[in-house]
Amino acid sequence: MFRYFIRRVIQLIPVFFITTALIFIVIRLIPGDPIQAQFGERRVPENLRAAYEARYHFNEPLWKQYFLYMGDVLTFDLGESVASQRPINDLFREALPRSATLAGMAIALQAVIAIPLGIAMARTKDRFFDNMSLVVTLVALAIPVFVLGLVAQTTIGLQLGWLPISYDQSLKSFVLPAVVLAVTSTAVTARLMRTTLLEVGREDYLRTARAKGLSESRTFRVHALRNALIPVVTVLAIDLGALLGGAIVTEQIFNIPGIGFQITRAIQNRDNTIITGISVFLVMAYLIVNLVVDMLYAWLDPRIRYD
Amino acid sequence: MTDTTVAFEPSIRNGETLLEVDDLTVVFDTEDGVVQAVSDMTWSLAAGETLAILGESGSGKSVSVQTLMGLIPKPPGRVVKGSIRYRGEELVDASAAKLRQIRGSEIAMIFQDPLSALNPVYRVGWQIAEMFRIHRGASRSDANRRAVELMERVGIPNAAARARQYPHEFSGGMRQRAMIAMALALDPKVLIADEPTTALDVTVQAQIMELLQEIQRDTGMGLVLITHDLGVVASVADRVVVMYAGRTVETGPADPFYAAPAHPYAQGLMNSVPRLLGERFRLESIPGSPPSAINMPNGCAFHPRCPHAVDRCHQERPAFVELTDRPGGAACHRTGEF
Repeated sequence: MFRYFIRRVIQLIPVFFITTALIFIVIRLIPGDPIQAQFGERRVPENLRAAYEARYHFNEPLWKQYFLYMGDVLTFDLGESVASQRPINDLFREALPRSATLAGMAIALQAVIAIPLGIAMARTKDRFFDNMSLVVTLVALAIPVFVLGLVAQTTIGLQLGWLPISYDQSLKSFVLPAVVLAVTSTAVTARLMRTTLLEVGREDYLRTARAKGLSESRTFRVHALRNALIPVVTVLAIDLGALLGGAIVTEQIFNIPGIGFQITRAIQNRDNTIITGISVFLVMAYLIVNLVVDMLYAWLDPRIRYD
Repeated sequence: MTDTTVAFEPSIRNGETLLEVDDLTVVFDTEDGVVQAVSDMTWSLAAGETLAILGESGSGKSVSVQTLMGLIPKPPGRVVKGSIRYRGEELVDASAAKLRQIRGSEIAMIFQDPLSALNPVYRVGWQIAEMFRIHRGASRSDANRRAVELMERVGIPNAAARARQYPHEFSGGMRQRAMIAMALALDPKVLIADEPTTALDVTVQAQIMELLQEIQRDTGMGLVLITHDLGVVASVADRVVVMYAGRTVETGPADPFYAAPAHPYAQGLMNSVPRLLGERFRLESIPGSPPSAINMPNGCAFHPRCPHAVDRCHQERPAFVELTDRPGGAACHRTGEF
């Protein structure tokens, strides 16, 4: 297992350099001038243009820009914003905890609701509760996030006044967006939990457990649930990784200045260094989450041997 | 409840009747109607005895033993008639708690495919130790120690290390040995082996059958062997029950049965087994296939495939009658005529 881990970490290195190079090149190749973008309609004075070019190495050949940038990234410096000249690291320090709080809440909701719901659906298979839940989860899957967000804001936020409808730095203001964010993934996860549990229910080892004289409750808890949870836990881990990179639509609707919010604004402002910085961060986060999921999977299911 | 050693001493009187299945009828309610899986089945098992239940897949042999273990799902399964008694105690309408007490500790069971019968995410030793922990309240370390002892007893080499492995790390034969160890954990009086060697290599099959016999000799337990393999039965069975389409078609002591099976279906089975000695050189097969349980032929269920069928076989189901020339019984209108 440890050797597998080391091998996977070594494999990440070329993947990291190739994907970041692609991101870097694509963003620099986007038509339009990031320096001009900072001045709007006005002409950029020559001396200022020269100063910008020198500061952000825009006058260097692309390969050299990439190596200079990578040198900074490897010392954990993501550069600075073209628009505000603020260090991007500062921006992450502010935005990442907000996105992480939102992601953590959404995933917690997803796990706490989806797992018991999926279990209840499997246990009432083809009966009223199961059929009703299948319909409700299907509806939840079909509703776009922005519709759900606006409905939640007008009803729970405004009419009932239970929760804040936009970010005010309090933990409470994360609740509504977390619920909105969790709805779709909870529906998917509950259905997955139901399906895997029904599949596991047909396994011979459950008959063995009953033949051993174990109670129905122990047969279910110890022998069925553990096996059925393997794919569900994997999905939860993947979802957490995806949400850490920011929920673009939800953060917009609820005005949460997280990663998703920052990248939208950077794209609008043509703030290329922020777009690159966040993209590089997302690549790293994605690679690490994938590694963690693979290790988690191997730990949960001993049949998967990597050595 | 704190017996510290794994007991393999006989705790039962040889010859004591352990299991009595009487007139058992099990049906399944399906969308296409009521399916009779087992009809009017009767057999018994004494301590130290090996009873072989023979039949093709779908003949009801597995359903009959899973019913007595309480393992058939209800619904759709239903016992409509008959009784199953373990040492005089009725199991058909026994409470779930009572059945749980008997399962594993009094009557144990091993299955056809030991890979799917073991839980893939738990260590083999843990799965055996679970018996001691749940039924005997043994401590974790005590249960583990006893699991290793059992694994040694059933011939798993290097048992202490193998107890820490997972089922997929075992070979087929070793997995079945682990299943046997698990079944024997609480010193059951009856072991039901449902096609225990079907999924194994031929050489391993013989080893497993030898192991089962050896354990039976040591413990005096009764063994119910469910199989479609006459070769497996020949060397170990004391008595034989032949099933066809959910019904018993022939029973009797194994040796005279082998010498001269009475029912045409049993004869057909015997003719389809290769023999090393004797005058027969061509293998025969039974023409046709078993009837579907939903659409049973009238009269004798075997008549469409029977070489000896007469008009009466099409209309009237043959009663089960004692044989006249040897111990045993058969359900055939023409018993003794051929």
